Amino acid sequence: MDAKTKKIIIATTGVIAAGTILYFVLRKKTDNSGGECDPTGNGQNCIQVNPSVVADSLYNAMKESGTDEEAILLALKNVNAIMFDQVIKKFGKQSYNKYLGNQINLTPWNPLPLEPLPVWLKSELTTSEYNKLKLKYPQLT
Amino acid sequence: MAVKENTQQKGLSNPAALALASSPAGQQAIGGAIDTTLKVAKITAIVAVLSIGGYIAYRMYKNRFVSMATNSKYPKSNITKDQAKAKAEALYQAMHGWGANLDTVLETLAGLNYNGYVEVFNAFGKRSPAIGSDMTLTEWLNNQFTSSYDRTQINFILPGIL
Repeated sequence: MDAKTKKIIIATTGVIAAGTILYFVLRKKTDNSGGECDPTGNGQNCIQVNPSVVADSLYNAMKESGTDEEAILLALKNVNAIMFDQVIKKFGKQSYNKYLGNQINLTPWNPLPLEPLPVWLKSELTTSEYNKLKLKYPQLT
Repeated sequence: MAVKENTQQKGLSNPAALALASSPAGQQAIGGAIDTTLKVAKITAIVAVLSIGGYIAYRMYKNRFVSMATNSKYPKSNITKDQAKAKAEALYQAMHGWGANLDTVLETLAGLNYNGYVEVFNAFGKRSPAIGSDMTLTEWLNNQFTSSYDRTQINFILPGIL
């Protein structure tokens, strides 16, 4: 083949090669690594959480006077809004002294009221703490 | 060889060197030496400029912003690109300057799924703090919120990011 055809072939190969390289460099990167579940838990109910365990941890964090806020946030870390309903159910209703923030009954002839988890949380946490929970759990008022 | 009379010369000099320098061969050698010196100087200057330029280019390449890839295994981003831009701005405003506003950061990050965070991360790019080099959004969060309680709160709102 003559010099001109050779030149054309080389030029075309060069352009195709450059185009392919540019395509691979510039295309949107996607990632397929990581586990099966979206780690944020938002919009997908994939991460398995045992609601009873969570409910127990919350109870332990709140039952004495004073509240371990960090323990509450740690227990609820992987609990998304959908799972939170399950946790509320498992917590059920526990006797609660609203004034003292614990379960000491100063009037033994009168049993303490049984309160569900949202009431416990609202009472035990400061307003700003509770608002942080509300950011994640729309069912809290 | 005729020796040029140098009656101006004060003190002792080296008559042999003088004789060599003033000869035609000597003059050629001196001219050649000057040429070589210039050549060497030119080459040194070019090498210096290229290495400094190369080093600067290398540093710029190393510090470039690498965007996060969306993960196709997880649900698509739950915010639009415009919302991501707005969130990135809000986060930057909350964090730069004196003191970092954790509450604003938490409100801005609340509800994002993984790919939503990727969009915000990419919209944020690399931004410069008051002190230090440019940082990505995750680096900003790690840098601004170091106490364990702050990090617990961020991990509560958006697990798996920090």
